[in-house]
Amino acid sequence: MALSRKDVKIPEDAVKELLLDKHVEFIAKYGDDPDDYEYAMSEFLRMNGIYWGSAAMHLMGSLQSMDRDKIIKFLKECQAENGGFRPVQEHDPHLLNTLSAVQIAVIFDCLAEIDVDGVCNYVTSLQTEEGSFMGDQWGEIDNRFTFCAVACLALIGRLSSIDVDKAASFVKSCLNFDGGFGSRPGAESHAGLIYTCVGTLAITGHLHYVDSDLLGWWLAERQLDSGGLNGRPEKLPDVCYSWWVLASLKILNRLHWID
Amino acid sequence: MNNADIEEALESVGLLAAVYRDVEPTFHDDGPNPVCPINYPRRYRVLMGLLRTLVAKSEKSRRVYDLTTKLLLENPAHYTIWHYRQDLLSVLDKDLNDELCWTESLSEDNLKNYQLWHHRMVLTRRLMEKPESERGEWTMQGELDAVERLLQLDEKNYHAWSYRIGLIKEFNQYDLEAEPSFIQRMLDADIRNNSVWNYCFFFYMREARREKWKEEVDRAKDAIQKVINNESPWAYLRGVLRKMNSDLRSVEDFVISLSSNEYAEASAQWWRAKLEIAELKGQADQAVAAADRLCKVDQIRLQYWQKKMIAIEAK
Repeated sequence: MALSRKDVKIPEDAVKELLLDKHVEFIAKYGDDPDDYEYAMSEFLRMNGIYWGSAAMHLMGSLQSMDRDKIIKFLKECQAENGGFRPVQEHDPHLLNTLSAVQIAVIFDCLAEIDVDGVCNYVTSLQTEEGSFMGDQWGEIDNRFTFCAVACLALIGRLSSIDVDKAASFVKSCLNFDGGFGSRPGAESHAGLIYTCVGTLAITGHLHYVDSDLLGWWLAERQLDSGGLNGRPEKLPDVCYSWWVLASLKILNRLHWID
Repeated sequence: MNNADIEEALESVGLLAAVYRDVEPTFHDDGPNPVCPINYPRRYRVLMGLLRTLVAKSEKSRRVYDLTTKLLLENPAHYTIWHYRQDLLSVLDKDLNDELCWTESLSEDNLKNYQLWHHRMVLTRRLMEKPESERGEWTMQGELDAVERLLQLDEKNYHAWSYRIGLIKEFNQYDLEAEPSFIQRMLDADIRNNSVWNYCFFFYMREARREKWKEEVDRAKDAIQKVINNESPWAYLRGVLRKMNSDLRSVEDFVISLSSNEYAEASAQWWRAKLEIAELKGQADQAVAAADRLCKVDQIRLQYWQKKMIAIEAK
């Protein structure tokens, strides 16, 4: 107890192989029942959900199982006058959905079907004086939004529309004593936020702001005896952190630091 | 869509159907499936339909406000409704203390919801803009106490901690007398809580207080002596020393003294510290010995330690 770190025990009868067909089936059927409670309650992240589903299908070589025409129609209906994307019709536009929409358009090779200039104007309008990004006009600041802005513009080749140096120096101001990054200056280092910050710095050519050995080690220490990864010290592992941590380590060229 | 369905949806959440009799709901699709029994999602979608109509007419009244209350109870992640509500709170000049109470009651079941925390910040900003005499019973300490109440339910809640940091920073509240005892309470509750250690760095290692950095070294040492394999105080110790342009060599005696701790031999954190000190001092043999030990006590990183041993030997 005194030595052990918080962890899980993988049960003996846990699945031991990747069931790709079942994953394809799950994603293909998602949204079939619009009266399903969770489907109705999760409208606010519909655009994100379509991105996650499409990206997964693409990785599994099953993109053709998605309804491309329906998705393109949905994208067009969700772009607001200010250029930003709504998660679903009649919700307000937000940077989170704008990135997802652009990512979906890239996956389905239909960027021409959306208003790219509009996206550029929307994203640019959300940058603050200090370089950070609001999620929408209501002013929440978070490095998730820094990443959304920068990744979105990079995908449409319009990164120079924002003040890239200021965006990078805002991220730098979020550098913590342990080498990690949080959502805002002073906020605790967290694997998900580290991904957004390292990603931002990589895209904007400012990776030199990172102490790669220090942060690489912090990330490597996320791995627990069960093999899973947590997001912060003394928290339980979760498969989402496998993505945030590994992707960050890959950017820092230290993927081999973990098992 | 028949009136009975609309009435049932309204009554089911305790709203008076008569108040909305003139409102025709609008839907962005075909609306809820009329064949399905009217249950949670269908009732919810009917109420959303009513709200949509009223918002499209730019109506800013009590009945719109009441709809947002019911809808947010059902779906607190619907950020668009939060925006309407924030607008309505101003227009209707609602009491912000009541609103904070209501927000807190919603928070207990939704501690990881971004909108609830942002809503608190919106309300706090509005309250801080008023002169003190117009804030009712609201105080900054009271708001921090609310954060602590929510932390009792989830001691590592990322939103709560970053909200607290945001409050202290934005409103320059570093001199609040009760803060150090809050920090001590959280440390006493769980010395492995990384969020508290991060908060310590934010609060105690800020520029205005940095000359007291040795107290922070002591804080870390104290915690390490209690739980030698605790990640956070070791990272804190390194962080404080690095900030003061120093490193673990300055606490070498302390690290050596830990050998009498019953868990030291099996502690990956302790052996890492010994390795780091040996490397800094150019003591290759000791560094290799420490890395070798880490292969056994930090097995998940076996490959890393094996490569480390090779790298040290190569130098």
